[in-house]
Amino acid sequence: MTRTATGAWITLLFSMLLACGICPAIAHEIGESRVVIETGADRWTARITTAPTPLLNRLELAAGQTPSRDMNRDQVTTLLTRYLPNIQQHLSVSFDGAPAPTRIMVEAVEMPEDPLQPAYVLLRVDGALPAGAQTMSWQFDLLKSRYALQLAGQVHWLDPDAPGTALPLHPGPPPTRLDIAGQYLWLGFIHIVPDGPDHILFVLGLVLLTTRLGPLLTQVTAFTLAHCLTLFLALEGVVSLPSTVVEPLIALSIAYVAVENLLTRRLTPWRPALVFAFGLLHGLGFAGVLEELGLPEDHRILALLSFNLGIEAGQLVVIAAAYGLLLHRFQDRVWYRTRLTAPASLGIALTGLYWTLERIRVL
Amino acid sequence: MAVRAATLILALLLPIQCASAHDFWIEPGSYRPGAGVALPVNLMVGELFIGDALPRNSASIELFALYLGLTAPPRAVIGTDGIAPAGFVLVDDARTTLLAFSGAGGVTELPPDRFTAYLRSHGLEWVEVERKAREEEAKAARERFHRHAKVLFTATSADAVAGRVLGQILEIVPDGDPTQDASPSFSGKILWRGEPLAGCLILARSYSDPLNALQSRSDAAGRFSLPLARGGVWLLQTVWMERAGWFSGQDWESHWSSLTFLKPEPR
Repeated sequence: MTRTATGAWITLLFSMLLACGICPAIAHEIGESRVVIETGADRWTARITTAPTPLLNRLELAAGQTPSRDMNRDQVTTLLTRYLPNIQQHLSVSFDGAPAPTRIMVEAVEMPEDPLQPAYVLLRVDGALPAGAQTMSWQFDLLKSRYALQLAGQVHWLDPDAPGTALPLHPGPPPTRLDIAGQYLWLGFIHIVPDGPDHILFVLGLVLLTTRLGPLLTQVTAFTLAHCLTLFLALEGVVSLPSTVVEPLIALSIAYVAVENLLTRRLTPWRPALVFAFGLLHGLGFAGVLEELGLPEDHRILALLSFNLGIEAGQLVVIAAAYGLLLHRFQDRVWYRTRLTAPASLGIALTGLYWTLERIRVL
Repeated sequence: MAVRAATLILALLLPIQCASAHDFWIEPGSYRPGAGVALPVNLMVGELFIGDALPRNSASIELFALYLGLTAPPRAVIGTDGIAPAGFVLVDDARTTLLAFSGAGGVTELPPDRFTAYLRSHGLEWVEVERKAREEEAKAARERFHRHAKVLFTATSADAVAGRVLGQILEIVPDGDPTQDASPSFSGKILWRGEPLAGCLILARSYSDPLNALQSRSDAAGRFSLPLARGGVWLLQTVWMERAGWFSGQDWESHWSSLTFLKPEPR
């Protein structure tokens, strides 16, 4: 797959995740503001809900005024009315690339005296909807955190200082089961290759012990069963361990298999059991990633199974690449162990130890 | 398919490329809350001491705790995911209390000109030099940013907890207790992974005059001083960077640290 095609795939996946209401952790932190846009036959209406004080303070600073703090409802309403034209200058709306005029008004202001209750302002923006418009661009740069914009049944996450992007007014059908399976399969795969160097090194450590099929299959099966088990249990909330514990242990497991490769030439009786135990830890690591990505509510099991299959595919690619490109060509050489297995295992062991220390913040 | 993918690239990558990290600090409902008051604590992101409150996101929190005294174990700050304020605390009014946050921020990618402007405005010129040495000055910069913040709650008497070193990767540590220090100055040190950090730019903004920032650079011992001539709420902030690891998908890892507190009117 070319680099461009890969990029397009990843982008496509993220867009589908967004369509499912899943937000990857990117760019600005997500704030509290939100925009809901409704479209009619010939008009559109947007309602912006945001905190009034920072909104007004930014306008005041831009106008060379001292920011007003600790305002009550009447003060906020007065200032908002005064600054409405300025707010409009920070708003940019276009349809199919053509700028559209807007009208803005204050619909509600809430400034509760109880500091535990949220203060907010509801701004209403509206305008004419051009006939046949396909996309709407929206930018409102008075906010400083990422906000949700709801339009035509989809949620878009926008960064306020980014240029307005074309959002579809008539989105296509929701993703099918096949789409979702494909998305999560790919996410699982790229979590191993290329995003999971620690998991790659662990799998390489398993392969380096021996190229004989039996021991290799035993280890990979033990690892796979274990991480499937904890991935499922963690996502169902049955087991849980903080990442501060899981991540150093995963790194330590990498070092262990590599060190054992240096000490023994054959599959020890305890190695499958240890690999199984390590697989339990790696499964918790996978679960952490999947929790960050989120699972579609209606297709949890499908997404989980697909993600798992993607992980297996990633592991198999690593094994096949290591075996096909390197190991099988030299496995019969007398120097195979001394010049290939031992140095590679030593490198993996040192990397694993380094990561262990790094992850427990000793370094 | 290709057209659709290209459209999506345009639609989704543009916001990422143009976003940049903003300042981050803790803003409580009151800097002098008194005893027995459930106090909302907001995590703020913005510029010029004007911020948007962030809803709590437990997955991104590494540290969010209240410290009383030099040795007492920290108390976790409670809150509800998805809701701002990010936490609630009960604060002692007898002695100064320290509240700290550390957590994940996000990733951003800036075009070279904006990244260079950002480096210069935050005193990170050495990163610009290193980018040039790596022949990256014309390339977009990929950055993962991390957040660290502290707030001091004023109480009846000063406490050494104000200068307690918490082990944040980038940490501002005041000398003494600035909530009880009426002298027209502020001094402290900047720690990077627990060690004094030299050459780090630190900015100070007053809540009542956020446009006019004071600034100072830390010396070889990581020490700095600032002429905080007026009382009221102050925000001290600093940013430092390191090269991202070999396996990282980013070029730089930045750490943003802040300290907010209420300074008494100078005598």
